[in-house]
Amino acid sequence: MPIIINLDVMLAKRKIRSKELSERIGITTSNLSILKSGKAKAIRFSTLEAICKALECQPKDILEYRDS
Amino acid sequence: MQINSSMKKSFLFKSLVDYLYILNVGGFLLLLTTISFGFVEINVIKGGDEHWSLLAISISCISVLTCIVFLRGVYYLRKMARHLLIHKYFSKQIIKCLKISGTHFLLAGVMFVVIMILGWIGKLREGLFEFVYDINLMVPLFLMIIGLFFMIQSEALLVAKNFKEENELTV
Repeated sequence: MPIIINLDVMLAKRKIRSKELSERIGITTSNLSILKSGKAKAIRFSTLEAICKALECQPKDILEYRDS
Repeated sequence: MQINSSMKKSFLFKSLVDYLYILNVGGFLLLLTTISFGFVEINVIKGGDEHWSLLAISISCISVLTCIVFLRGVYYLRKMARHLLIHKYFSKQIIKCLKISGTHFLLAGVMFVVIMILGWIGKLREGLFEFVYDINLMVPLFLMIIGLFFMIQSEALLVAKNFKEENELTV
């Protein structure tokens, strides 16, 4: 899929662990892992909003389009 | 409560399909044995000929083939019922088995129609024109309907499976 998830990069920049983020935004670690690994087929606006709020970033920092 | 009720239905369905399969396989084997040992006389041979006519041979061969195709359809239905028992409604196996079973039932129905037409031609050749309206007329029709329904159901399950996967992978 040409949509790349840069969540791990943002987590490293903010020095936050996956477990902590999952607790903050209220999703399971397995779902966060699906999102990080790029296996997710869709992301809800509410989840994206929660991630952006927790990591103090913009959606473009997490999602990237790369023409393959 | 819902799961318990569905489990009971699946179990009943599996049992009924099992009985149907066992009875049909048993009956088919018994028929083959009795015919090959000459224990029964077949009504198809009329007119006192010692040898079978080409039409009678064709009808017999297609009948045996129809029976085998039907049995294969029931076999795959049985396989599908086994997967139903473990609540894998959207598994690849159920979709595949349902499609194969449906195709076989449809084919068996078409072959049944061919047998009826051949029988009708045979009677016409004897100078007898008859149209019998009975339950036998409904059997191929019902088989074809069930076969097509299973095929449609299999496609619907495939669409549902894709939706389910997409829903599960939505974060």
